[in-house]
Amino acid sequence: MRRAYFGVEGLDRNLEKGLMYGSQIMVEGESGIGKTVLAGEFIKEGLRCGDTCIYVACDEPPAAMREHLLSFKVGTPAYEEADRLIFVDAYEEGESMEKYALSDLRNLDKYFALETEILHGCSGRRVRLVVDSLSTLFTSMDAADILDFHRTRIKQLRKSGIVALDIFVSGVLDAKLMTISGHLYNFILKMNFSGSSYNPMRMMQIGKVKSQQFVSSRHAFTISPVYGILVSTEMGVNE
Amino acid sequence: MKIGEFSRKLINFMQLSMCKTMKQLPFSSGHWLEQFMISTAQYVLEEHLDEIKFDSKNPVQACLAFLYFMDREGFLKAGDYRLEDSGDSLLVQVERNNCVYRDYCLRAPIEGLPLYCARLSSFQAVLRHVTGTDYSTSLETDESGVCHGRLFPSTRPTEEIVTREEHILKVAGRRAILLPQETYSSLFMSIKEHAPHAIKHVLYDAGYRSALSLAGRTKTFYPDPEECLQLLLEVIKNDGLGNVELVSFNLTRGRARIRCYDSFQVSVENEYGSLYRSPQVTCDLFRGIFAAYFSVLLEQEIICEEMRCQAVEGDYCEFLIMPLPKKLWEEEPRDGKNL
Repeated sequence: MRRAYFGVEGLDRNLEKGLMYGSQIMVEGESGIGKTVLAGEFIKEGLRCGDTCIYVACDEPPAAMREHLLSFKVGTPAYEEADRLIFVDAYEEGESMEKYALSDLRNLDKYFALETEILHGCSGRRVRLVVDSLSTLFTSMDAADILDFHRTRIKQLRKSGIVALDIFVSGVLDAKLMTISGHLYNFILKMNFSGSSYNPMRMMQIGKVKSQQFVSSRHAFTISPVYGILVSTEMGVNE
Repeated sequence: MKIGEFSRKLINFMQLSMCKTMKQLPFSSGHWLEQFMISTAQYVLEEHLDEIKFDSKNPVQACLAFLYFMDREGFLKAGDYRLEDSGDSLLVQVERNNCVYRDYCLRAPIEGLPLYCARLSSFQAVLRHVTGTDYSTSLETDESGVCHGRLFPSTRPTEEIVTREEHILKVAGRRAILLPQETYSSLFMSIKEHAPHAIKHVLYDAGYRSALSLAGRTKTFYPDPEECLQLLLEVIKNDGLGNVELVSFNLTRGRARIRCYDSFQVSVENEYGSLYRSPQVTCDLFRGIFAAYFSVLLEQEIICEEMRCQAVEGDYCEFLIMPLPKKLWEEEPRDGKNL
């Protein structure tokens, strides 16, 4: 059976069997840590594997991700024309020039309907979905509504065999809500700065929530303008 | 000496046989076939130089002198040929039915063999001898069976010509090596082990760098982008990298679609194992080569994507070539944003 990978060597090495299509990954990290770069790696890998990649841009216009991919010599127009790279503008509201745009950023039902419509148009294909960041869509939403949305959406994604990468910016949502949400995902990837403020180090942990515990190991990584994310040491994921 | 029917047939069979043999050569068969044809005429020139009497260095006059000699020997009728100057070129016209090589000329295309006009080759030898210049040839035969030949000073780069000088192998005069697929594969398996994140970048860059200078040199000889591109694609085929086919080329938009059948990278992947964890496009070397070719030809930065790969599915790999889009998004201060 076909499995998906992140496209980040140090990370993939530890997911020997890869990610099943239908898996969901929660990425939680501080601002500036490299969550969007990771999203870019995930998309690049998907495009090389023949997947259809959907990127929902909530924190910046979709053009930012296009530019980012182009800086890695990924010819985004080729994939967009082939309908294998789809951008959803959940940033600009009414001013968007994108084919797919969210008209009301404060309405989760509208988002769910748009996502469902786009995924419906991709039926029969292997799909990777990235929401960057889902926490932005949840800002000012009620916790109960968020969890309802989460459960319904993830159930649908799993059923449709979509690999989804949901990004959360640390500190935007309540810690308790994050913990509960984390249980819904197959994998959790946490990214944060460590060390002194003069010499901060980027760290990441990938793991699962098991028996109320986040089981993982922690490793350093850097961001290269040529290679993207480079994990500097071996990572072990306790399954 | 009068040429009899049996001798004529024998000469034509020899031509066909030589073409059939040359076609089997892995490299430069066209070049060596041409050399064989020219060399035959050179022997005639050496042996009969006193009788031919080259009084003028004018290409038409020199070739006519050769034709008169052959006529005197009973090999052909000089009057069957029409020769005229056209700028740097020499135009030759003859009815195919009056040519000694008629049978070869008709049969070679049917057998899928390369066709080199022996008469034009003899003129190449004459012009090299009289003017000291190497000429190339082109030939067309019209519906009424009249052959229209053209000889023009050679400008063609000889990238595909492989020679051996004792233990030194050369391509186009520069030292080369024959690399078995196994060695190539070992090289990249080693990179996979030591720097797996770098594989696709190494392949792309290697393709780009190696193709850049070749494209630049070829463009100086062939300024027309389409003609130049066809020659460059021919080099890929001659080098054994794959059977490439230009599906479409829009010069104005700077876009092209190329297919490659039997890419060597796919063959390596199938035979020696995958460089990647999951099935994916693998021909990054070609991506680099095509990006370089088109960047030189179109004088703008070009990107190339492999949209489908034989390593994953199908009978061919397909590449889409297009200009690198201008900056889509002007960078603004982004508090805490992490691109």
